[in-house]
Amino acid sequence: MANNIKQLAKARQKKGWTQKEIEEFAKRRSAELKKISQEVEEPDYLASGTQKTIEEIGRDDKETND
Amino acid sequence: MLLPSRIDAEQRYKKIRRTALEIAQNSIDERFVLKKITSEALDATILWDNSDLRKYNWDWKNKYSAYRIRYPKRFEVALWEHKTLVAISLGRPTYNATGLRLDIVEAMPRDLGERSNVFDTIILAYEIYARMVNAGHIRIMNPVNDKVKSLYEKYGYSYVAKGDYLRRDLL
Repeated sequence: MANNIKQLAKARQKKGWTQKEIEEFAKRRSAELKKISQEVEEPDYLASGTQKTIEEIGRDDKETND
Repeated sequence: MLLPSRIDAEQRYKKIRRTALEIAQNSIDERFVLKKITSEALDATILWDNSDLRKYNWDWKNKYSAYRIRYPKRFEVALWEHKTLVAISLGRPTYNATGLRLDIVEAMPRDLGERSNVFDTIILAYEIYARMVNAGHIRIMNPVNDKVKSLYEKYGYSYVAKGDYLRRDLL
């Protein structure tokens, strides 16, 4: 089942999503994320990111290369 | 001076960013307003220097201008709650455009005032943009600590030690 969903999602990605499909996704995903948000305690300091320079970030991307 | 191809890319992706933010805005609570990063937002981040919780004093003003020039396909978002900047973030497609990286996100530290949870709203906007540019996954780069890493995991993201990021396939 999970594999089927993944294959369908991959096929859809190749073709591209219509705006209507994206809007429907947004409504569904927003509800899912809101539910999680109500159940978790967000840290008082929430952040992610690097202290690298822009040039270093560019090199970092080539290292992972996909 | 910017190359014509870069100016063209900036214009094309500006429209995609705007549409992604509009779609996200229509799906979130009314107390939040999603906008692109403006000088008003960059000025608001300076107040965050006063926080005792802040781990890095990110220089958003300088970092943003360099990032904006270099990455026309970037995604950017400033999240406002009742006219207060509560989060700001920058990301861009991966090198081969198979995914979307959330390079930096920072929420207003809570010792500076109350704010609602913001991560669900920020990541929704990213997931919408990712679909619009046909990215198959999202990477949240370099969580600042284990608490933050654990929070992202609760939203379905998995930690990848090699690279220090969390990843989720878009289904």
